[in-house]
Parts: sequence; C-alpha cells; structure tokens
Amino acid sequence: MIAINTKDKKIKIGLEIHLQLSTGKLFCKCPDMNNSGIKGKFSRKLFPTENESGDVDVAALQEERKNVIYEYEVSDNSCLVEADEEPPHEINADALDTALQIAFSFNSEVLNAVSVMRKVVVDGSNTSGFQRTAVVSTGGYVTVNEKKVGLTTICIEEDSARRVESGNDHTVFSLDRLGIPLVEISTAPDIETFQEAVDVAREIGMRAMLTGNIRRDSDAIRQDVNFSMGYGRVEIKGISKLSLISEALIAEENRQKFLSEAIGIFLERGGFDGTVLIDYTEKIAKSESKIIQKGIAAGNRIFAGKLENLGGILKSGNYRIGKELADALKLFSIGGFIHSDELPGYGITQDEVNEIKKFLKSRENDAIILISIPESKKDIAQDAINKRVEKLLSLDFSETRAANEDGTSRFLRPISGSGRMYPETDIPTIKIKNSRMVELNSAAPKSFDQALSSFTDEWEISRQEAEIILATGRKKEFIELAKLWGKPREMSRMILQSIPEIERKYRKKLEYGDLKTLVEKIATKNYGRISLEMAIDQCISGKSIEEVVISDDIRPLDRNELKIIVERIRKSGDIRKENIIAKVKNETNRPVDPKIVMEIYQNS
Amino acid sequence: MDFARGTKLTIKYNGNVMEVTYISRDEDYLTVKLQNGYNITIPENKIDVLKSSEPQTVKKKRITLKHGNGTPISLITTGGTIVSAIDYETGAVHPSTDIRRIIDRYPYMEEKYTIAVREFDNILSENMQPEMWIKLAGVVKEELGKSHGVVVSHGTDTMSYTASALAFMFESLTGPVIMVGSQRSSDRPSSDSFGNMEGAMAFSSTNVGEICISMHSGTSDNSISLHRGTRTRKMHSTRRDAFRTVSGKPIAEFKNKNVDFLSEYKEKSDKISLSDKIEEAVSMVYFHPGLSGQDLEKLSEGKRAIIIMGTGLGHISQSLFPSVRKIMSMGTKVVMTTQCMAGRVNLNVYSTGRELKKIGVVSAGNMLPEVALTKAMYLLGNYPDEDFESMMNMNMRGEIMEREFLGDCY
Repeated sequence: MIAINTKDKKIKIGLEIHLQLSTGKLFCKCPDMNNSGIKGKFSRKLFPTENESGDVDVAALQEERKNVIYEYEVSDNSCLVEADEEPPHEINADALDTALQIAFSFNSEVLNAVSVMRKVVVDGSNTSGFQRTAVVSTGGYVTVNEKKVGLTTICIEEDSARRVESGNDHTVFSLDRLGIPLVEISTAPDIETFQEAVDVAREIGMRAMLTGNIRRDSDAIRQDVNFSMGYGRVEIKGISKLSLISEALIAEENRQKFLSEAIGIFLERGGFDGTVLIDYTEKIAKSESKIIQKGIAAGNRIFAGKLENLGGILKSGNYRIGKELADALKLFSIGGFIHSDELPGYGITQDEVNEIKKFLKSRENDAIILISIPESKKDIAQDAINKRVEKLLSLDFSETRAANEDGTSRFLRPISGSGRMYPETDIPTIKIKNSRMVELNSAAPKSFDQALSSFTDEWEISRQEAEIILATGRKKEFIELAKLWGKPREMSRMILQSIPEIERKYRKKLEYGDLKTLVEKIATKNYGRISLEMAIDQCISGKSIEEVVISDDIRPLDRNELKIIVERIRKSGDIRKENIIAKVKNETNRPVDPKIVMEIYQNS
Repeated sequence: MDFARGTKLTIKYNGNVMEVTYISRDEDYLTVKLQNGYNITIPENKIDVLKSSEPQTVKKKRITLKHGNGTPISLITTGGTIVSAIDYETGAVHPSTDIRRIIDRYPYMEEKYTIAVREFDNILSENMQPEMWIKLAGVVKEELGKSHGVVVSHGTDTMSYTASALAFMFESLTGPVIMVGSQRSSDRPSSDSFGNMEGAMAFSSTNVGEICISMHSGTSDNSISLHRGTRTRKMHSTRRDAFRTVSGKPIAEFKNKNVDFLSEYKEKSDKISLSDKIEEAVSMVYFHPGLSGQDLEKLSEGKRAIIIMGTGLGHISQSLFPSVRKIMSMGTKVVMTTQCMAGRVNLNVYSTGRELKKIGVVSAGNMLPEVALTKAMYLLGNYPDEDFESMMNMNMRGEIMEREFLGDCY
C-alpha cells in the first residue's frame, strides 16, 4: 500500500506499549505460566453498570446489546480470583516493583500512593466485567533519534482473558492469561512519523526488558496505537509485532483519507435520512442467487433497503463505505450484506436489481442493499447501519479498532470515556515507602547503553553477548545461571550458542527450570562445560534429569583413566603433540580435559 | 484544602498543569480523578491548586417501576450486598435501597410482574437481630395480603438465620416467601444479583408455601437454586454457589426462564398463620478441646437454652459434665448439635453420648446448629417448657430430614 501525503492534516501518533511481567499474577498467587489443558468450564453474563458519577460507558452499552453468553475455560494457572469467585489478594509486590523500576527508568514521576481502579470491560475478556488498573507514575520521556517523546502515564494492570473462540451467540475465553501483570506505558501524541512510532516502541520495549521481568511469549508485548490526522482519535488495539506498527498506520491513514473523500461526495449529494429495511423475501424468493436461497432455507428473511446518496461510494476505486457498514453489522453477528456497487453479482441479475430499485423508488445516486437475517435481527441491523452512517457523516472517525494480522484493522467499539472507570474497593490505596522508592530508583536503568556497559563490566562478558542477553530479557536467568556455574563467560556462550544449537538439533526447547537444575547439579559435581553440554543434549533428547546426572557418560575421564588411554595410543604408533588430543577423543565418548591430556603426554 | 466531592480543580503537580476532579482526602493525601478516568492519590504538599469550581449536581437516572398486569410481587429490601453500592468516600461497599438497577437488567420482568418495592431497613446482615425478625415477619404478612408472593432481599451472612426464624414463625403461608442475596455487589458487571433476583421473582410466582432462599446453583450464570430456609447454610465466604441445601436436594431450579421442581415442598395455603414471639435468651457454644466448665457456665448464664455444637455424633469432654448438670439444674435447656458440616447427632453410639442423654441433653438429630438455635428461640417464645424436647424432635418445617441419601450435598 502507498502512503499518502496529507499535507493539510497534521498527523499525531501516540503509543501504548503493554508488557507482560513474568512475576506471577497480579492479584493472586497463580503462576503466569500455564502447563496443562482445560480443567473445567463455566459460563457468565455481564451487565454494564454505572460509575461513581452515575454514568454508563458507551462502549459498555454497545456490548450489552449483543447479549452474549461468555464461556470460560479454567486453566491450571487460575484460581477463584480469576473465576471472579474471590476478591483480589494483595498486589504482587515483585510486579509493582518492576512497574516502578520501569517508571524510574523513563524519568516518570512515581506516585507515592497507588489507587487501583476498575475499568469496565463487558466484552467478556474479564470475568469481573472490569480490568483492574492503576497509574504508578505520570510524565517522563523517552529519547529516540535525539528527539524527546513525552510519556503521559505508566500503569500496572491485569491482562485480560485470552479469546479462544468467537461464535454467533457465544464466545469462549481461557483464564490462563487473565490476571498476568501488564505494565502499560503511554506516550503523548508527540510522534510524527510512522518510522518514529516503530523506533519509540522498540526503545521502550528494550529498556523495559532490562528489568529481566518481562515475559518472553510471542504475545508478551502488545502495542496499541493512537492515530489522528484531523478526524478524531482512532485507537488501534493489539498490534503484536513491531513491524506491523507502520503497516497499521499506513492502512489507517489511507482509510481515513479515502473515507473523508467519499463522505465529501456523500455530503455534496445531500446526505442521508436513514434507511428502513423492508421485508423483500416473497419478491425475491425465485431468484437463483445462492446467498438468497441459502438464507431462505435457513429460515432468514431477505430485507431490502435504500441508502440515499451512497451509490458508487460503497465499493468502487478507493472508496469502501460498504466495508465500514459491514464491520458495524459484524459486531452483532450479522455476516454482511449485498449492495448495488457489487450488483449484478452473487447470482442476482440486472433485472432483479432493477426490480428492487423500482420497488424502493431508488434514484440515480442511491444505493440499495439486500441483507439475509432472522426477523428478530431486523431492528438491530437497521440501527447499526444508520448509526454507522451518522457517525461517518460527522467526519469524526474517533473509535476503537482492532488490529488484523495483515496490518489492516476493523471497527471494535466507540472510544471509551472516563465513565468506564471507578475505584477498586477491594484494594485499599497502596502507599509506597520512600526507602523503597530510593532503592528502586537507583536500580532503574536510565538508558540501554548505560545498562549495557555496567552489565558488561560486572560480568566480564563481551558487549555483543551482553546486548543480546539484555535485549531478549534474559538478564535474570543469566545472572542466576552464571552464579550457579561460577564462570559467566562460559555460561553466556552456552546460553547464546551451544544450548540453542542442541535445541535446534532436536527441535525442542529445554524448560528453564530443568536447565537450572542441571547447571546446579553438574556444578556441584565439579564437572566442566563439556559435561554440562552433554547433559543438556541428553535431557533434550528425552532422558530424565536424574538419569542424566548420575550417568557415567557425562563424567569426565580422570587422570588415571586418561593415562591408560594415552599409553594405549602410544603403543599403537604415531603420536605427536599436535594429534594427541584428537586421538584421545576418538577413543572415548566421555568428556576429556585437554589440559590433563597434555600434562600426561608431556610428563611421560 | 477541603473541597466538596466532584469539585473541578486545576492543579499544578510535578510541573504539569492538570484538570482533575476532587474525590477524597486521607490524611495528607488527596485522591483526584484524571480526565482519562484514573484516580491518583498524591501528597497534598506537592500540589498547587490554581483554580477550583463547585461541583455540578449529578442527576441520577431513575426509572419508576411499571404497574402492569403481571403477577403482583412484593419486594422487601433489608440491605446487604444485593442492593449495595460503592461508597466513594470510604471506598467500601455499603447498603443502598436502589433495587431498580437490578430489575432494569431484565426488561421482561416488568411485563411479567407488577413489583411493589417496600424498604424495610438498610443494614448489613451481620447487624440483623432477632427483634428484627419479628418486625420483618409482620411486614411479610402484610405484603402477602396484597401480593401473590414476597421477595426479601437480604445480606448473605445471616440470611439462613433469618430464613429459618421466619420459617418457624409462619405455620402456613398464602404464597412463596423468597429470600435473595448476592455474593458480588450489583455495581459490578459480573454481579450475581441480577440472576439471583430473576430466579427469586420466578420462584415467588409459584405455588410454594415456604420460606426459601434463591441463589446461584453453581459458578455459572445459567441456573438458580431454590433452597428450603431450614436446611440451608452459607458454605463459602465468597463463591456464588455458597448456599447449599445440606443433606438434600434444592426444592427447585430456575433455568432458561423456567422453574423445575426437584423435590417435594409444602404448597401455599388459604390462610396465613404467624406466631411472632421469639425468646432471645438462647445462645450457642462451639465445643473445642480446652473449653472450660467455667466458660460454658458463663455463656449459659441467664439463658433459657443453649445449643452446643459438639464433636462428631454430638460429644463434649467428660470434664464438662458437672457444668452441664449445673446449667440444667437451673432450668436451662441444653441441645446437642454437631459441628460436622453435615450428619446426624446420635447419643447412643458412645458412652459419652449415652451419659449426656442420661443427664437430659436434647438431641437435635440432623438439624443444622443455627436452625436448632432459631427453633429453640421460637419454641421457648410460643410453647410451654414441657413441650420443648418433644417439639425439638418433631419435624415442623422440613428442618429435620428423617432420611439422608448418598449423592446428596453435605
């Protein structure tokens, strides 16, 4: 897709970066990892409620109209808290510390007291009907390409339940992700180019990684983008890859540009009084169109409607108002409609189109639509179309959209207002002690480079290796393993090279917990690097840790054993300083210490 | 700095000028609402207030209940989580009388029922007292005279006490009396209030003539159970399905807008009969290793009866026997129940039990201890002393189950 230069409209972009923490869940003692399948299921309904000012959120009301029953799959990393059967426990101190540390690292003003709020979300993704969220700091900045981009707030919040399945009248979620701590970093709308948005997102992600408490799952970091070019703020939610940020922005800019043009044409023609859907089933029952016949067979009615002045801009060239209407219908599980820009087509003949036009008294610039739905959905469909057109006509495109995998996005709901927030009364305000603030502030990395230098110095590993460890969020794991092993350089090489190689060989990953146990056990036996690598290889190939650790295969040959081998080789002929090590290794599968072999060779 | 809640403030905090709404203060901290809806709590000395303007009064949407041709139901509100709202000053949940927001969730209910709301009180159920059962019974009687059935919204903590007390006081009823509560307050989108109330309304339009409790059957929102007031206990502090019929099946289930009866029940009668006296001088003692005779005697002072929650089949330490004798010699009735979650007291199996029986302790069979308490209060208030033991052993309101079955909840 080509980016369009809209000189008259100033582009403003803001980001919300969400990072999952690996500290265990935010308001209970459940781990953030899920290990097994589904332990049970239950179903719930949700109702929007008023906030403290008596307001009900518009986005919440829209969800209610869908009247969906939500099903939940119980995972083994969930308890009564996730099932909304028990109030939240106290906030996870590690998670809060991590959020505070991130806040300090962006020079954000950390609040002395954290007030947890409930953000009403009734799309089923939270069993409670709200997401617990709290501001931990305000302000701050991140510097990218020598430009300061301001931050507005840093929040700590619960992640939502993972959507497993979306059906017509039911939606299934898993509880495995619900309650995992998320740190949300929001920037001011200071970003001016799409590349800058990507750079800012990357910098924020890398810096946060330095805490070592960011999860490494594929969806552990998610971006929301706020975009405006003069037609209101559009929030695009859930962009999981950095590379998709600029694609999503380009697509959104194009959408708004062409939409505003199409609306311009629409307004010039005189706009719209609203459509009325009329039952047209009997009149079109003899059509050979498969869509029509299938609909009638399924018990649907076929409704016809006239969209005044929308002819030719529903779908032609770059104009796609039809898709906007289809997205609005999809929210109510209505699969779509056929409109005159696509007709004749779908098995509907020109004669049939003319008939409908005549029946609806359609004029030249008008569009007509056909829609196959149950009688009960007629009012909902009509209302959805009219509301959507009204909204577009206002040239205020502000709304929340969901990112698609291909970089485009779809309409999700109106922008939520402050009406969706009210205090979480089960959690008293959390006061943070000054001593804790000082401690966290001094531990907070102020820039990636600075953190890299001090990390490299402390562990005496190469800068390149240190950079990979930090940028991939493996700092905590590295420190733990390096301390157990005693030789940081060997450990970093193993983590970055030999272990991934073995994992590639077997196309299998070694669980961190297993790796840690192996490192600890091999280190206590005073075996060397080769023994550890062998043990890891055997473990990944499927042997149990216990079996591997006591196995003779990984025990290095001792001096006496080596002496016997060296003697044997000597008797069999050609032996030199240059080939002795290779020859010894040929004689055995067990680890060999070349230093000892050389000593034996030289002393004999 | 003192402002009325809702005051719009322009403040300078950390160099930034912000438009906020004042919410509350706690010592040196102010809580304000940001424009994006978040509340933040900040030390007073870090803020400069540049401007303040008085709050606009918020007009709450109020919908009066429609008076159509539906089944007439009286809704008596007593408080509790089901009608509670958030107190934004203290951050705590407090009782409210606004029942409409629950009923509004099911528009069809306004067509199906003509609901008259009567505010009885507005308290948390732990503050419910026996004298209030009497007042409540009077209101229930009055309302049953006007309606087909009565729904009583009640806090869950002592709901089964109130239910069993009312059950004893009413020998016969002209319609169902359904008590309903909730475990999640109705200010939450996920509240069980809505479903429990929908079930209660449906149960209250049946021909049941008992005092019952309407609460979630399971954790899902698809089924509401109707429990007999004299066999129900709150088994969990937080779960939606906390209420269970102990050692039996619920009377009915409400599913897909239908009431299905699962077990036998007493049908409503032509006339209402209320005996509204309650003897408050009855108390309950939970036996435990180390309980001294002195403690037992102190707890029994001035009481006309004590309900002991003994171990297993209904035992207490032999060292307490002299005290039990002493208490009984002063005319106090002693009733034995079990602290096991379910099952029957049987004073014949062990020598300890036989000894207690010989002393004259009354066995409560498989009556729940809290039900034995309300029953003793009722009997001592309305019947002569000499009938106490025989009536205690008589099944009056379904409180004693002569037969228990495998597979039933305990």
